[in-house]
Amino acid sequence: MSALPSLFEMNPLWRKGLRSRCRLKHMLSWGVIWITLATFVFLVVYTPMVEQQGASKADAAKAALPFVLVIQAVILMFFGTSAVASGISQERDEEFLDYVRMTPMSPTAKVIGYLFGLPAREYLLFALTLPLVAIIVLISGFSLLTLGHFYLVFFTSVLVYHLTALAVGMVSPKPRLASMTSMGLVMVLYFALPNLSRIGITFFEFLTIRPVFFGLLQQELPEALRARAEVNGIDTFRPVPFLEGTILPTLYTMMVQGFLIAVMFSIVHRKWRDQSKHLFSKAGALIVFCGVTIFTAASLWAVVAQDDAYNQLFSAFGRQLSSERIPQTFFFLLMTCFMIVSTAYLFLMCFITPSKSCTLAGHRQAQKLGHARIPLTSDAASSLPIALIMIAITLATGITIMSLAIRHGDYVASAPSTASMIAVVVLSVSIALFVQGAAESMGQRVFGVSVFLFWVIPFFAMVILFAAFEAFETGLYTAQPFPPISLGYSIAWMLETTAPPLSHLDGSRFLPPQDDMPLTPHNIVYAGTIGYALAAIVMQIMRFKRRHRLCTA
Amino acid sequence: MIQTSDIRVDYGDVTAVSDLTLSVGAGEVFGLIGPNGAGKSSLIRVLATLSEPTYGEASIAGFDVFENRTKARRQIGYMPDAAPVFKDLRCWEFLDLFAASYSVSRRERHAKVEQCLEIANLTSKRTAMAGTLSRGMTQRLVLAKTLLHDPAVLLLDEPASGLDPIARVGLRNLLRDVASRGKTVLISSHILNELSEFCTSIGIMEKGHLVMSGALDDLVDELNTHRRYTVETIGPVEPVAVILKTQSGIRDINTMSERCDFDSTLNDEQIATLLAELVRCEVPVKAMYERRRGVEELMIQVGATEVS
Repeated sequence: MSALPSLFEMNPLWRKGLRSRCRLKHMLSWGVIWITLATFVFLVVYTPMVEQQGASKADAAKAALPFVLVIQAVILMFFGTSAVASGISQERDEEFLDYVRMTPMSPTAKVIGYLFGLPAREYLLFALTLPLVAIIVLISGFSLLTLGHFYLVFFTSVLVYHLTALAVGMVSPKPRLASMTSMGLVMVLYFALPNLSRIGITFFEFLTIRPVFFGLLQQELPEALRARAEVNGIDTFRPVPFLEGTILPTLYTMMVQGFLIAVMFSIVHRKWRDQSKHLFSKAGALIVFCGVTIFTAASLWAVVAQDDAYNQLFSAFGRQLSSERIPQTFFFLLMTCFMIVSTAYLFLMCFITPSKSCTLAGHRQAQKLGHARIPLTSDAASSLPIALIMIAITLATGITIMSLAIRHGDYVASAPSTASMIAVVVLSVSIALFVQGAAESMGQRVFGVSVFLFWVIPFFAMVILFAAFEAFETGLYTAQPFPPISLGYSIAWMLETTAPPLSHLDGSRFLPPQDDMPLTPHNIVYAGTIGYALAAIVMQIMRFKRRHRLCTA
Repeated sequence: MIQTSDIRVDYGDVTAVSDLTLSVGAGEVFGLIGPNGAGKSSLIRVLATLSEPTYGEASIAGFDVFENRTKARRQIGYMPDAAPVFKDLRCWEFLDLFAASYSVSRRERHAKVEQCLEIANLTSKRTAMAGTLSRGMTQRLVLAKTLLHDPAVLLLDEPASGLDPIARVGLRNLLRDVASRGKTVLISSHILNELSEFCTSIGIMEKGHLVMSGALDDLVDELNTHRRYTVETIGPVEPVAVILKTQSGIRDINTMSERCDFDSTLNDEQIATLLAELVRCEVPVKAMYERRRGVEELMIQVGATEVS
């Protein structure tokens, strides 16, 4: 069954969701609970304002509306997400999915069916609260355009979360774990990542309904409440700086959420085709990486290229950094972008790097079909070619941003020294190749444990050395295996060689004072770079040997 | 109707199915037998389009199960080992879900659901929640689900596992009924002797290999170089054993109170002469008959051969 006819005749999986989760007895009990709760929330805001504070009914109703919308968000985003994750995971666990997989419905129809079928109860409960919203709109005369705008963003956010839950449920081994993981992801998407907006990486904020909720919706609030909202720094609904221009916030939200929806949809779609496949194809991983790089770099580009972009972002999102266009700000932005892209690289490498058995099966298949080698796009193919392309993209983006910054001259006015640039490039490439080689030659479990041992423990050691003994130099040497430290330090050193240098303004130095150290900072950078270059070479040799061994077994 | 060529399935370092080639003709009821871990379920999952093999080709009703998956799926009715049902759906809703999923038109759906409930003898449970059914009823409901879209091929993976004897008899009768409707059936089962009652051919799997396959009688004849007989007497059976020991072509004589089993390479005339000899020696013979080897004995024999 193609997706299109299933739109005309209700999708069987959606109908299944309606039948199994929306029986009258369930809906009566849940409906009473949520309608009572929503009405209570409305009345507890509305009544005191009218009766005691003497506010007009329209103002009081307007003030109550956001609280009712929060109730709706809790129903769909919190409980709906949990229902999707645990539902799909349970069906997979109990092998129901095999039945559904075997039906001739298209994978798209199956995904859509589950996406709206599993949270069917939550959608109905949401619908039950709509009459209350209608009453509030009638009383308050709230702008329907604004409300429509809000619901547009609201539903795309809901889709993002439900698709995330569907993807987690398809991958996670246990229903409870799936539910908890998806709720955790929602928390991270909602509360942790948006904080990066405060230092200029805007796109995380637009994964949520916060800009439209705090920005657009609150403009309709009574004067007194709006003032309180602005004090909290929630004036975020304004054109978003993107590359050399700006984008309407709703459009930007659609872009960001659309990207995430596409990513999650592709994961779920792929898992529907075959549960044993990797989360991403090789090409899919590359597209995702490009998407993350574009969104991240575009934010950074805007901050560098547009004179007032950073001030705008600063006033909209936060009070975290100085709004001055100084090297320190640039350093933080550069590092944050670098870390986001590196994290994406790390996860994607884990997702697309074949295990030993996958490689072996791929090789047998290729041999049987008479191919000289495993096709590059196959799950069983090495992830090295994709890693090299990702590295090239990252370096090209970094060099472009650096050139842009030098051309504009606000943050840095001159090129860094050649030696420092080479060190940063070699270190970045080495870490990336080390990660790829380790993931492929060790297997994911050993790789995970190794990461903890060789990355996290040196970082802990550095913290202890700093805190207890003020041993900066020893601490920095110790922490060089931890990529954020080694990369951060090398980038800081690179920016120290520009004009103005990174630490020119005040005493807030990013590099330890050289007077205190018998060895200069560049030795620390060189130590990290050489160390990682050697580690990368060793890992790649191990990877090559293992692959050769498997393919000649 | 079912064709596989050089199918190999690997799970990590374990090879579940190894270069297996199989052909099941239209209308055949093919019993796939073998010990646990022989690779039966892995093969059925590949045929059911649920997992991709390491390599090899497979087709159902002429449709390649990897290249032409959707068309192949329309031809397949699959019943897994665990046979789960959606506990929160009523029996008719469960069947209606799959009828709709297989694009049975809304007009025909109701009749189709009722028909399948009737075949599975579950009409009285039409509105019962699927989660409240007994194990036997659940199996029958899932079998009814596999028949909804009138598939040409049924893949039944251990359909009788976990059933009590009465439920097993009910399922066996239902399977016999389904087989008589001209479907091609591939069935794996541990209840081997039951398979022999309605399988037209069998395949024996051992460690991922198809050790042998063909019509049941042919296989039995192929493996049976000697036949097994039983003599029942009124009173002590020892005189029978004494006489048998004097005959050539007889071995493995086992006696129990009033019964004696033995293997023989004698032909029918020689057996008749033997019976006459027993009667002449005034042994009180109540009955003498050949015991045909069942699927179970066949599998054990083949398995033993394989191990040795």
